[in-house]
Amino acid sequence: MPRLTPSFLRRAEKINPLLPLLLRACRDLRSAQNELRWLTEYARGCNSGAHPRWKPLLLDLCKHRSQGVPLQYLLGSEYFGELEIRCGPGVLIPRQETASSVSYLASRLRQGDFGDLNLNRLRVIDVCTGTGCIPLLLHRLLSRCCHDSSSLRLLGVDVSPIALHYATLNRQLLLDSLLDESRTMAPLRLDGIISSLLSMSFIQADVLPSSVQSQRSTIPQLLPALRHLGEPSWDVLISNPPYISSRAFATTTSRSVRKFEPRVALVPSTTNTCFRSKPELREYLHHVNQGVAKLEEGDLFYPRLLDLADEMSVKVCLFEVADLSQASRVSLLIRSREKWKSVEMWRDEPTLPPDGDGQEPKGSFRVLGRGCGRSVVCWR
Amino acid sequence: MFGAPWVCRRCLFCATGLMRRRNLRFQSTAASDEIVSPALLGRARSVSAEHSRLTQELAESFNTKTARRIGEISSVANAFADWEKATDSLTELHSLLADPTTDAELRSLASSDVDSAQTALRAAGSALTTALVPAHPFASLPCLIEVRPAAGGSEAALFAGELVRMYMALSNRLGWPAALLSVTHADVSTTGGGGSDDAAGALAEAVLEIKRAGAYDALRGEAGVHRVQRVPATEKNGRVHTSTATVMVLPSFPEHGTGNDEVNFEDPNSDYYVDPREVRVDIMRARGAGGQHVNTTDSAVRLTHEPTGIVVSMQDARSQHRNREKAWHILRGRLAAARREAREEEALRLRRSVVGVAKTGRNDKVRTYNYGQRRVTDHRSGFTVHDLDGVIEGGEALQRVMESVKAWLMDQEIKAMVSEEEAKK
Repeated sequence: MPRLTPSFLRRAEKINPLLPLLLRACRDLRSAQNELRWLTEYARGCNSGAHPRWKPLLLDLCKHRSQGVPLQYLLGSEYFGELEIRCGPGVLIPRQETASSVSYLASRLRQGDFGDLNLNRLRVIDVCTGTGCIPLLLHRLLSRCCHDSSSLRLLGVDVSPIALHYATLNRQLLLDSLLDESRTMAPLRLDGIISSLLSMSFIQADVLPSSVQSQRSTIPQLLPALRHLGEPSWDVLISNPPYISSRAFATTTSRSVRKFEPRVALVPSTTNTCFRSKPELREYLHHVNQGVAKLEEGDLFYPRLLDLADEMSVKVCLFEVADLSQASRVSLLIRSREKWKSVEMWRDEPTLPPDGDGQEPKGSFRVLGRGCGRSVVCWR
Repeated sequence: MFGAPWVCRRCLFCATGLMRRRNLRFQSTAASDEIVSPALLGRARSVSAEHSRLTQELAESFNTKTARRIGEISSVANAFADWEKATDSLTELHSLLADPTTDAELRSLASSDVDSAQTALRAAGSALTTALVPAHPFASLPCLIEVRPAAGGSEAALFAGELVRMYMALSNRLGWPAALLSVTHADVSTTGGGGSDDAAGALAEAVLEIKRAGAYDALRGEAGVHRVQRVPATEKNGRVHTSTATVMVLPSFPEHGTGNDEVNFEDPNSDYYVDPREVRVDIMRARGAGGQHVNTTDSAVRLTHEPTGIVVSMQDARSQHRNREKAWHILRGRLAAARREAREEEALRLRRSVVGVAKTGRNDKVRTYNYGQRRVTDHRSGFTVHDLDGVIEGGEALQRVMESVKAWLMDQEIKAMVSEEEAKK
């Protein structure tokens, strides 16, 4: 991280004395100014009653931000596609790239590119849902184009109780805003949308296999939990699992993420969830590999997710990945299973034309869009 | 010494008569020939072939684009079919008449039919040329008429006022809503004895709007220099003066945003339409790995409209989605403004082509109003009516003059089209 020069800091201070604080986290003036504006709006807006003076609050917020607390945690929300999603410490902040992938998935589903799926009664399961942003956005995108979306079924699964709290909160907030809307606008059209949102639910379950799982856990496994719900089969499986290897976590991951976002949502081999030792992990990966994909530490969830997809007779899968090399490993893994008709890799912005500076993946896979490798999609 | 002496070239030509001027008068008005030009016929043939092909295509699979194209060219195809039918029947009659074995009764019947067949062919031919000539791009718009006095001082100002009253009377008679948008009266200092009325009618400038769809097409032939020859009210010695006034006819574009109809972004003809393929979208991505590795708050979106190079970037909102929507909104607005400007420039060009700097003189007239002979002559179509009052009162006579001009304009367009078709070959 290049050092901020004193003259630059002085210049920023002349514009606003709070900017040097924010520059510690933002590193460039434009985004620091934007963040200051958003923080000011927030401080003025929320503290009319409790604190009559908003300036101390703003200073406090800026101090926190200068230590690297994500702005999204300070403001309590992040925008995901067209939705505003509540988030806070203990849950992964929704990412713009995920929203692009999900929007593109919705448009491809509407075009019917993934075989004959009935969009009106589509069953979508999101594993490692976090704030619930993916099922909520997909619900928004799919329900607005269906004739009758009341049979649309979405389920979010997460292991963390904090994530489940935020997910149900977000669903409730969206429901409230829809109910408000239905009072003023055509209520008939919104009925299906509201009933499918009501039927959306979030459950707590663990995805990783019991053989490698810590014995003390009382969290149920995913498949038994689904059987308990009476819904063992699903059409679409989406997952944004933890995919950062512990080496990348130490090197490429930004400080704010490392220090403030939950490690359990980022690094799959987090010690307290499953693996007690590195050799155990290597043994497991070698076991699932079958020598084809050369899986690495960060890829721990993908073989398990593909097993689950088979068990749930899923027809379309979308997995978020870290980069093109991980995308290639996952794609090779999918191909080695020989149960999937096609595999595609999507970059950060799948709808934009490629600008040609991205690296090329291994293997002959179709790559769409511009930016880093972000998702792997497969369908039967 | 015996070499040929030098002779002045002019003397030589005069002696041999090489320079004798041929006193020929070229007809200034186009003769309306009934034969459709071969270039136009070729075009009609290709269009009707396309029509039949598209119709077949449409029968197999419905396609809105094909259907629309068929709608556009069906009038040409129908006119061409009529014309072919008329030609066939005429050739058949001619062959009957030429055949010596035809009996007398049939022959007399055929010869009586030839005339009607010929008129039918003529009608079909003119219908075909009309269908082929593309409509003026602004034909469906309402129009603005601007009248200004040109050469002739106060007399020209008086005549300009009379022209405005003429067009108002015409639109009143036809039931077209007309409104004077702006009137500037000239101060006529040399008013004669009973000149107060005339002074009121003396114009420096007037803009008349005729708010009827298609008014531009009906009146665009009026643009040009109108000449008047009469003894003016301001003249004391009874001499005939020649003065002129210029008339400009401009299309009147409906203003966006004032109407209650919603602006349509999807309509390619709308000012607000932006082809998404022409816009490059740049999203400020986080450098490095992205995804779970960073939690950027950068939501900036930049749109670049590639044909015009207009760039809009937006970073105010925390939501990238909202930034994108706002950026599109601004881009649409800027493009619409640019397009309106281009159109206004086009209108300006039109205005300049009507009245150039040196083209408002008495000689560059399009029409003469001669009070002495009670005559109105249009110099383009060569059409003359001897009903000056009828014209000035915006009556039937004016309409007849306008129709003759319209026919002349059509002729010019056909000629331009034929030369274009020939140039293509």
